[in-house]
Amino acid sequence: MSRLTTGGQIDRSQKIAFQFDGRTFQGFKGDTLASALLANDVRLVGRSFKYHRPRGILTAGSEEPNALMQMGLGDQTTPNVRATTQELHDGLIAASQNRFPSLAFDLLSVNDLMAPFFSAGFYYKTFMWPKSFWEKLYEPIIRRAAGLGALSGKADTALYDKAFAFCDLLVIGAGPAGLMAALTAAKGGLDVILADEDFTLGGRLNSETFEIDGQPGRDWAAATVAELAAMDNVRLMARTTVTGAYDGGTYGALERVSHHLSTPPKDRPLETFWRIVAKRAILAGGAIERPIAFPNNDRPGVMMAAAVRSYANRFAVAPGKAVSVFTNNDDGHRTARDLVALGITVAAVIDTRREAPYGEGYPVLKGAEVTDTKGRLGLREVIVRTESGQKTIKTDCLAVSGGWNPSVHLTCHMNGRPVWREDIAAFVPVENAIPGLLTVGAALGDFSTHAALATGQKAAATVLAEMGKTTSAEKLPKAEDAPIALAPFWHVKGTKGRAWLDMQNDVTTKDIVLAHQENFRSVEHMKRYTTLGMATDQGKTANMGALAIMADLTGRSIPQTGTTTFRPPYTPVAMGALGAHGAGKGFAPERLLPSDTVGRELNAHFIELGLWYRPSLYPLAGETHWRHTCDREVRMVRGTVGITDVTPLGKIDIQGPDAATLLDRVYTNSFSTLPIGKVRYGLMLREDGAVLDDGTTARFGENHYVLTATGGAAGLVMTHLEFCTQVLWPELDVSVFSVTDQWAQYSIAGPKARDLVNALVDDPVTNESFPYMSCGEAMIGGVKARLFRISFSGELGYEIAVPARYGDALARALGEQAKALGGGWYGLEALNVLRIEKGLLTHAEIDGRVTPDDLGLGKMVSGKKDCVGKTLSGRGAMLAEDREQLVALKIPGEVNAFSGGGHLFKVGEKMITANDQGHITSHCFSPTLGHPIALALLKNGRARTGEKLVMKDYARNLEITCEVCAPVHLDPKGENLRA
Amino acid sequence: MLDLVAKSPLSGLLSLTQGSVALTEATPASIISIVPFKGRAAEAEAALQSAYGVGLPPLGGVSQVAQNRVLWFGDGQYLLIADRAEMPKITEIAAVTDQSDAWAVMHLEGRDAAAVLARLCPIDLRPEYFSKGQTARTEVAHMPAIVTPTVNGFEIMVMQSLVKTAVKSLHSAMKSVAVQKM
Repeated sequence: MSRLTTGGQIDRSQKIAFQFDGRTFQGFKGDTLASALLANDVRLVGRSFKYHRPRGILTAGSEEPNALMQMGLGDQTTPNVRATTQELHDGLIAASQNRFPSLAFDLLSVNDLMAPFFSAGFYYKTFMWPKSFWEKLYEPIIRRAAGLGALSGKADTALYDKAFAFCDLLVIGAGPAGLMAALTAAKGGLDVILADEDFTLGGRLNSETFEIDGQPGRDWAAATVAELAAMDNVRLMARTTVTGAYDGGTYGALERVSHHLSTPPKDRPLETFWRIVAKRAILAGGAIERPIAFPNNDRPGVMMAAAVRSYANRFAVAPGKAVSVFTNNDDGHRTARDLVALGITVAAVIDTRREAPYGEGYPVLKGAEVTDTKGRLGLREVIVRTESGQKTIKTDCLAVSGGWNPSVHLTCHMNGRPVWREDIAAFVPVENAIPGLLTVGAALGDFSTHAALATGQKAAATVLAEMGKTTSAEKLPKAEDAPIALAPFWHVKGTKGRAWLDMQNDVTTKDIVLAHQENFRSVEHMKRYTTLGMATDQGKTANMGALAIMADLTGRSIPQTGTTTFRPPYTPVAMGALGAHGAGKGFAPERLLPSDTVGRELNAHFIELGLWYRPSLYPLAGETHWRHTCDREVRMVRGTVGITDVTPLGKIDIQGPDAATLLDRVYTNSFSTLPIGKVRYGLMLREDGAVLDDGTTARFGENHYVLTATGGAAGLVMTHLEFCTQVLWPELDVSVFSVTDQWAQYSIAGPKARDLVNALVDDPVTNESFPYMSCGEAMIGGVKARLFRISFSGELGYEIAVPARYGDALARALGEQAKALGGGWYGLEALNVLRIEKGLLTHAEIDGRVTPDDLGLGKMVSGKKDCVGKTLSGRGAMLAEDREQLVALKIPGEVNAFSGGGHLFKVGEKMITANDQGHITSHCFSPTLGHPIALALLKNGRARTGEKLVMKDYARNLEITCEVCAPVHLDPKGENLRA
Repeated sequence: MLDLVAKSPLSGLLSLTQGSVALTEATPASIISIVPFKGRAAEAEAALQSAYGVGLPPLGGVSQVAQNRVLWFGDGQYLLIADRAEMPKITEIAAVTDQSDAWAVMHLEGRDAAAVLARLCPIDLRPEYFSKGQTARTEVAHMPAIVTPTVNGFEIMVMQSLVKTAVKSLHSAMKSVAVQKM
């Protein structure tokens, strides 16, 4: 065990058992998976992406490139989880990735021996030919050999949530700078959200030994967090990573809600994706320590120097028995000092600087460089080049520090480019890169604790002042203010062997050299050529080293070389979290009919139409095929009476002195001439002259109309009318208001329709008292209803509307009465057949390209007045002689069938696009006529009645001969309607 | 003689309670849309004042006297929530439609009501920005909704045809919040 006997922010009274690669280990509450593995002397935790190199834990944070785990089992498995951020919990099951058969013996590590063949650009050059081999052979093999974790292949059953939050100030990061900023702002009265990706707030203070105001930094952090937690205007969000900065002060954030629990209670989401809208934000995201590239720097045991401090100080774990440090700055010495204080042996500090400080209880090699490492599955020794010659140091942990990179990522999400600061040899955020966001502390390049506290306080004061609040005169807590003492050093030169830059995507310094050789010298080209920074860690520890080498090779400076673009998310976000609430039927609400329950009781089949769920069929016992039901329902309507729920038709109430004027302007035909108590069929055009929608409009009063829009186009028509009244003619005194949900509406059709209506209404109607195309009010069961005499079937037809709360009761009454008359319910399939038989239109025909004349409705465009779309409908192409016109088609006999979308050709002509004569828009088998019929749009169709055509459906490989006929198959004079 | 029995779209769905939050059905007397014709707003307001004691609210506002309320519904559009029996005859000065059956009305109330609604509704629900006297036409679980703060939570109105989905979404959010507050 490498667990120190005392210290650390772990609870030794709470032992936690967990599994890694099938073996059971023990850790403590407060551990991460990484710290628990290190405490158990597990150093080898994964195999690398391309070369299958043995890899260990490099960092102690979300930037980790190596220690990626497959967590959990079955459909709950999650790949690529960073062991460094995963909290330990009882029963946690983790497995290493990208190895076969085992982590210690991995067959594909042969890739490493073939490394010369696998350098950058290898795939692009090698797998070029033969072309067909890529998909079938090369790609599957490459995918098998390379990669990280695996998906379960099953649907993710985990629960995800999403939510919105608003605040005056969002503080991102809860280290010293973030805590100070949050405290200052909260005391000044702002509504503050403080978010941090760690489960213990405090940032680096939890991992370091320095003091604030005379107490350990971690104690100051804990006290400050407690103070903030007690304030009503502060929301602390631990385990929450702010992943992106977006327009208007909106930030995306991922909260890991249940990953740390052994058995989360039912209904508790795994993760919540937050959209936080903040008037101001303060980025206190800290900095990420950067490695130095040297040969074989990827062995398990080579770690970041600050991570070694984290494991030793926060988790009470000795990452090695004899630790050495390789550094170009004073922070490396801090690691050595902390370890010595904890009684851990420090073998040597290898400092690249000749002017390095003296060791305090540890040897220092000044002006020295690590040129190689040894140890197959874990570090055994390092080879050091010193001014006095080469040395070998026995060591099982090498702590590396190449300086720090401020976490500028969020400031780049709206295309801000960071700027270079020579004194710290790092990029820092440019001001105002994100409107309303200030950067503080290490993220700004101010690395001391004092600077963190000071900049945090100052930024909060700035925000308070901007928002008209005053800052209370708080004294800044005392803290260390050591300047950064660093000599830029990126990679060890003059060595053989591969030196890793991007551990997760297996990119070495040689790959950068190759990219340069092949003229991929812009950073963006280099990135894509080598895949550097393209793995799940987005190159957080890799990018700078590569830039420095490319700068060297091209003779440009690092700022001239520039960085690649940082994009959201900062750390990976599960698709499940982004799509929370959208799984299953969550993507769209369900609109239910007033007769929904009745339909379900009758075992109706439902289909979705828009958002509505409408019965397509009401099958009776013994009906085994949908056509049995559909044909029966059609015959029922033609023979007796049928009822169907037409509530989804858009009902738009139009009132006002200019109601008639509005309708005259939006419809091609006239509505000001419609008598009160009458209904008229109307046609509406788009501005470009194509038909927008058709439907009936009823006049209930001098200034009161109710317009009916096609169910699927109801929203479209409402939007069009609002555009007309608000933008085109705001001077019109008219109100347009949806009453779709107010009324439950039923269609009653068939020769016995009037009998059914009269069985329900208080005052019976006759053909004379209520002729075809009438509308009015009626009393049904004590309820005021609206009655219309309209038909979408060609039969005698009525529609009854009652306030929606009576919809269920009316449906039941209609069902009973219809049954008594030998009729019943019919669904959308039958409705469709009925209207095709009658040549009536839906949006299959009104497809957005047709003119009124194409539909045979040219006479409906009034010559006496103007209307929307009339001018542009006069364009040449809209009047061309060979336009497709609505016709009906038939095939004799019951055997063949039309095909929706099938195209029409002249008999004997080659069936190619150039010879296309038109297409099928709607089709069905007509039980009334006994053969298949269709509606079609056919070139110059009205003149071609009687002509034989071939319908070809290439998708279904179907070919039939059919005959053109007039578009109305049944009752062309409309005598049934008026009976 | 036929007797049509009214059925609420919420029948059988409510009430629901999770943790501190309850979702209950509200049954307002009637809901009537009022859109005064051009230049007639003052007359419409006077008529409402004398019948119900309430005037027309400003943008995003609610005017209320006892149980009678007028909600802002859009530019020059209002919803009167009151007993329709008292309704003055104003069809000459305003477009009036009955909306009593178009909307399902629910109350989401309790300590964590805002936390629940924040999972489904994208507006700022903090009391400093949204409290009694205000109303918003917004969305709840991507459904058009009218959200109005109450003393202890929110009144949520959704189109009656969508209410089953709305209740399901609200209930999921209630469960999520309740279990996280445990």
